Amino acid sequence: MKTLTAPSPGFGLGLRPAHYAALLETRAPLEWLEIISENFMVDGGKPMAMLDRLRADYPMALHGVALSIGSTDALDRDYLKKLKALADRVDPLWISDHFCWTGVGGHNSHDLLPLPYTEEAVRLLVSRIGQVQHELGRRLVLENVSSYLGYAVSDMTEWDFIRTVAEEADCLLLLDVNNVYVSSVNHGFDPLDYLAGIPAARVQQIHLAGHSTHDDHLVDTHDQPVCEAVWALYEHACRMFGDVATMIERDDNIPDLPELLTELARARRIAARAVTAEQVAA
Amino acid sequence: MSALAELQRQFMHYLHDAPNAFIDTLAASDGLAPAARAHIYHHAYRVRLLDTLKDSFDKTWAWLGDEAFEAAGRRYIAAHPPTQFSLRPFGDRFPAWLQSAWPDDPEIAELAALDWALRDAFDSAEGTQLDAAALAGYSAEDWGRVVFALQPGAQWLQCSRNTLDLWHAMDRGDPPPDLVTLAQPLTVLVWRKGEQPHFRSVDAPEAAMRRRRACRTRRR
Repeated sequence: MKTLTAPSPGFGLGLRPAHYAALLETRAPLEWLEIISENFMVDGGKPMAMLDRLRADYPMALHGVALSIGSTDALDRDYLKKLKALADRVDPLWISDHFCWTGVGGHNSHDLLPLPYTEEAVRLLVSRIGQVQHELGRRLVLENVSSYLGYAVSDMTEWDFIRTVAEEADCLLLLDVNNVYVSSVNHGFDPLDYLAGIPAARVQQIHLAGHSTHDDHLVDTHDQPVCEAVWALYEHACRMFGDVATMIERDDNIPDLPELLTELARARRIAARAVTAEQVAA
Repeated sequence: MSALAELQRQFMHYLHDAPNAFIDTLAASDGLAPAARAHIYHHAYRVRLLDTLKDSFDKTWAWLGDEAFEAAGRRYIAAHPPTQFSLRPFGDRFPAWLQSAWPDDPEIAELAALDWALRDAFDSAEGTQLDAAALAGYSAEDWGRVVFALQPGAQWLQCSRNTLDLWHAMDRGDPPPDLVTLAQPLTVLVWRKGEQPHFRSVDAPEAAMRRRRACRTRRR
């Protein structure tokens, strides 16, 4: 398979302050860390000191939540400048954000709001991704979000939308398997149809996470272990996309580091099994 | 305005409780009704911002309690919806807002100002700290020219009540002291020492020296 992505560094975790001390004490069995870009767009102090100390031990990917690539407001040049400065400091594996918008009219929701899947939105994203990639001097990696609503105006599936944008903008993808699952339950589609619609050569990274279950919908809360259905979907993804950098996101109800490393070990076993099975089949 | 821009404008108005026709733009589907789907975002917006305020103003939250803090937070969110890409500065006007909301209880805004100043100091820029050896290194000629500056992120606050005693009592988990209005407002210095924010009260002579220095600086 011809691939456009950087080689996989292996398995990682999202860096959270709760784990600073444990990560400084011992060299954890992690090939890389993902950091939330905006948390390190500050002037100094402990966040920046920890960033520099841990960067000496681990490669890092930058994961942003504020690019708002799908907003009809102008691109935030100040934000892009800060992102570029952080990238110069960290020399990241790659830089990611989300297929979403976060605000408009100068207001910010601080949420990853879904886009309508329309030709107009495709055109907007392709143009803006091009501008950001030019500014950053590299391909951007964009993640599918969990969503809870759909727009009447949408005239394609989410996976057709993502594939079209990725191919036309020549960007890469961060496939969040939990988000695929959460949205499949909330909107009633088959998650395997979703995976089949994703261009394999562009999948740079996979996210795993937990969610919370309500009576009639799921919410992407990152406060639980990865559930069995998401593990099963991850195994499918590994068969389809091969050896892809994978990490677990945990943002609330954060356990000690060893517990997350145990959870990550399961991802390692699943990926090894799936990739071996594909090689035998090939 | 493009269809997409109009849809996004409707969504933001919906989140802000401004008049809107957002629900009409949503697709009907199995399961949850469109209004219930939209409400997930409406709820999440407020919870996220309230959590941010609780994180930034932990002593103020502890003093007011959940109910009063959340009610105040919701009014603040409505008055000052976030406009910046980062959540970090979202609470910057909360102390002043609390002052106008509770003019007769100044310790609330004073606690909030202290919470916020500690937060500001935490991730402030690095500054060069002068120690005795560095001071000894200045020549007599230098002393005529030298101008000292506080570290970046250092702030002066004023407390009209025994708000620092209240802060310390809450920090230790002790019962709060009786609140009293001080004969003279207390000056408090907040700064970062290494990675840790600190604060201390400043006695009257030091506060007076600071005021004189501030006057000299202004005359320049």
